[in-house]
Amino acid sequence: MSTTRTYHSVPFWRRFDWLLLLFILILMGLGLVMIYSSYEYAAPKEGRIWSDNLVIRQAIFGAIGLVLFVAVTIIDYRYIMTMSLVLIAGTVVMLGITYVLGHTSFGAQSWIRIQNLTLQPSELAKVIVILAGANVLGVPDERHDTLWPVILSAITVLPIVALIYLQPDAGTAMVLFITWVIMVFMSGIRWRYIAIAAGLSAVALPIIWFRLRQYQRDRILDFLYPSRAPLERRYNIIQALISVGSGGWWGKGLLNGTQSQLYFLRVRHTDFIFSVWAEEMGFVGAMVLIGIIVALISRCVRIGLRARDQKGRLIAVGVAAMIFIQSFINIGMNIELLPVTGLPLPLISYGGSSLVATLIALGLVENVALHSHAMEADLF
Amino acid sequence: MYTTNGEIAESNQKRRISWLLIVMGVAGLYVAGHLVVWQIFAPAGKLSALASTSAELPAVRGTIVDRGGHALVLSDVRYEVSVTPRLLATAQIDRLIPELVRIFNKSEAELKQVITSTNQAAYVELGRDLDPQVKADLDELESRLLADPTPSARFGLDAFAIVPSPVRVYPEGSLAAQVLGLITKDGDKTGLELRYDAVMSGRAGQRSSKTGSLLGQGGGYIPVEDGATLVLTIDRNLQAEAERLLAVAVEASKAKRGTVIILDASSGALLTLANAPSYDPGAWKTWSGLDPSVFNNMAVSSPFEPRATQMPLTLAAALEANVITAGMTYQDFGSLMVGNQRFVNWDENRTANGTVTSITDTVVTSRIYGTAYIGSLMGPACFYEMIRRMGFGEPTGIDLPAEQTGEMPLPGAENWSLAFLGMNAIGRSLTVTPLQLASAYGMLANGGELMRPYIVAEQRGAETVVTEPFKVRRVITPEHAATISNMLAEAVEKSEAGPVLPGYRFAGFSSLTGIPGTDNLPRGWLTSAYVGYGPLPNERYVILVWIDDPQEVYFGKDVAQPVFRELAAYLVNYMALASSAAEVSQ
Repeated sequence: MSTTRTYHSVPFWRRFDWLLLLFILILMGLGLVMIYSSYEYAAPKEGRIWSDNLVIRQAIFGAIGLVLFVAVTIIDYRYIMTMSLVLIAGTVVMLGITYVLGHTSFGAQSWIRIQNLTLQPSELAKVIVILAGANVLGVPDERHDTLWPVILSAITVLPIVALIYLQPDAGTAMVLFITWVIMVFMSGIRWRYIAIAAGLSAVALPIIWFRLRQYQRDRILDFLYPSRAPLERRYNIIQALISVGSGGWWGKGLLNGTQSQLYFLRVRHTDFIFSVWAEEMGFVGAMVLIGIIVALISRCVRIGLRARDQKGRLIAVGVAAMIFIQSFINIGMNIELLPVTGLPLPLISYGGSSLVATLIALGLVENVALHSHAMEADLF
Repeated sequence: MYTTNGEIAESNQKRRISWLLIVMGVAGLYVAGHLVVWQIFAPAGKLSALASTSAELPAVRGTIVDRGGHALVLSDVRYEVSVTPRLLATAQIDRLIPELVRIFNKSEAELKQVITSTNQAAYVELGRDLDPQVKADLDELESRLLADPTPSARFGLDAFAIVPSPVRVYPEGSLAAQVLGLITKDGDKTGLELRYDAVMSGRAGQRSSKTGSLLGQGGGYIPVEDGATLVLTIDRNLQAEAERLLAVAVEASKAKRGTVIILDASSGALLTLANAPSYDPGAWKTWSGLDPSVFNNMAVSSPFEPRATQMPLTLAAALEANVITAGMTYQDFGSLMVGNQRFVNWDENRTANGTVTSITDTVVTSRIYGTAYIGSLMGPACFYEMIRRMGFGEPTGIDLPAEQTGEMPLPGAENWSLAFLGMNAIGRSLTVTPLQLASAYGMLANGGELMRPYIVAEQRGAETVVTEPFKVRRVITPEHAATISNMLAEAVEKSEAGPVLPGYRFAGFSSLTGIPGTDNLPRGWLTSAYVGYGPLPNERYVILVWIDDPQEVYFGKDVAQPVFRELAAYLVNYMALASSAAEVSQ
């Protein structure tokens, strides 16, 4: 390689993946608009101080998240990874504290309350799991002849999944588990192990079914057999469907959604924010939103393809997978494709912890992009 | 070509990324496909059916009042309150608990348990069937919370869902319960609630978006049209007195049930339609263990053999058909064969040996021989035509649901034989509802004109509809009607109990009746009836008392007649009716 330019001679602004940031900013902006439309627009103004305003709160969290996004890009991800054991230990402790004395909220003990802020460790756990998983799984290919990397990553990741499941927050646990499975697949696990795992899970599924809480089973059964569910249990999903369905091609116009503005949707600024958008902006708007999410995911995958090493690739693909799964589940439950699990739409739904955690995760992807293959070529 | 292990691994990973991209792409297309289905080819019917329940502004169901305007059924609202605990912070819960203890009248421990430990439910119910007071209390609480001096302690009750649901309220309790009917939790209706459902339910309004594609094409606002008020012909006081007397009689005779009808014969308006035993329509929790028959309106839906109460009608028919005259006599031989059926008087005196008997005596002493004889003189064609004209075998047309017509076998039917003529003439082997019988007696009281009975005098809604009395047909001449009325009045005066009230002449007739198929008197399953009207000579009010399956005493004069007499006396007082003598002197 005969280049005169060194790694550090390429200016930061040229190495930085601006498109990734652009997609993030667009989605965050849309999120603020939708929170305003779904909640603040019709919310009573009287007696609320500025910090009660959900749009302002979300914007503040967004700003914090963006600062962390940039901060995460500064140190090479390989250095951050060396701390993954510490991070895992910290996460387990935090989840443990939450489990023991956590604040009861959203049907699960998933929030730690500090002053007026609530912190959801399970959101941060998503980032840690991807980081630690990539560290363990991103080993030279020969080592995948054995199952050791997979077993090690399972030992690292699955306790966290279990703790989150116990909160109980099955939705987040499921996202983490699937993300881990995808990362294992991406790491180059041999097909024979995949076949064995498939066989084992065929045996395990019935057992898992009987281990599910009754309300979780109910949610799944309600989804599979909508008519068996009492109307009040289907209330949210019916309202969401009416919202989505009444949007038509072009929607009713921003702030004009009768469903959301008339309060028919109960958790309209979090779980069902997509149906607010689909009602007000129509099919076209919904496709635009999905398109931007797809662009963001593709960008992450592209960064993964150009990553310098296996670990970086796994980080990027892991984050892409996590964003994909969450978006798919959230949108899917808005149109009765999937059961209602209470997962936020990344970067869009109201919720500070989710937003900050997603931005940190995307910061890691940016980090991978900054230290990518192409740049290395210049260096070595 | 030489490649490093690392390059193999890398291309392997890139292949796997393509796998991932394919899976994601398929999932994305699946979502997009569903969006196309829901948003563009939306199952419009399904969607609007879902939507119409939510965007509707419900109409208030109409009320029911008696003829004096006293409310019998009112519409009110009850609330169901639920809370989504996950939307509440611990501090908010602590702040709310004492308030909720006061509002919902539950213990603190119970509320805490409901709100804090039900992690799994999206929202938990705090109560249902709650008074509007609870809603007012919650509103007041919210305004107080929002006005908290500490900004961070201010919050609204967003976590609470306060869902109104309409209910029916019965200020008079069980009064006329079977007439008014019910609306069950499932929306099933009976009685007037069913018959006048369309009028009373009104029309729901709708609010829809201006730019909506499905909900609001054109959009806008359709105002609510509340349901109409029904003004009944029922008189609250007469109804209450009838129900009281009937309940006492049913209980005293250990009967299964009973009904009382008071009919204004001049118009067909029903002043009273009582059933006993009854139930409280507002207190469904008390219904368990009730016999299901208490929900039926026996007067219109339970046909019985009229038995002796048929006899005056048979004689009226024979008079009208010119088969007999009022002054005619015949010889009573005690035992008569009509077809293959033998008829004997109730005293089973088979050795009357040709006693010369007048038509009046036939009525006064309730002669089975004579009535069967006169029926047989008329012949089937004439007899059945006459009693059909009196309303037998056809619905009265009363504006109540579930009306039965009873059974009347006719010549030509497979099971009809000549014996039926005699049997039917004395009110056996055919059935009528109490209302059919009261209506036929109303014809006698109304100078021979049969009126259609009705119970709703007026529907006061966007338009007011007043029910005009409807004359079904003239059945007999006024003279013949007067003749029969006088005979029946004489029968009352010559009965053991004597005149109903000094100075007031009432026509009346009692019977002890068997239920079809159980002719074994008096050991069979019996009904005891008394029908009368008065006061003569301007007879207007028909009172029918019918008691089903009395156990202790059997005869109409012992079970039903006392109720009739007390009601007749009450009616005279209540309506301030002029005495018969006064009427005659005018």
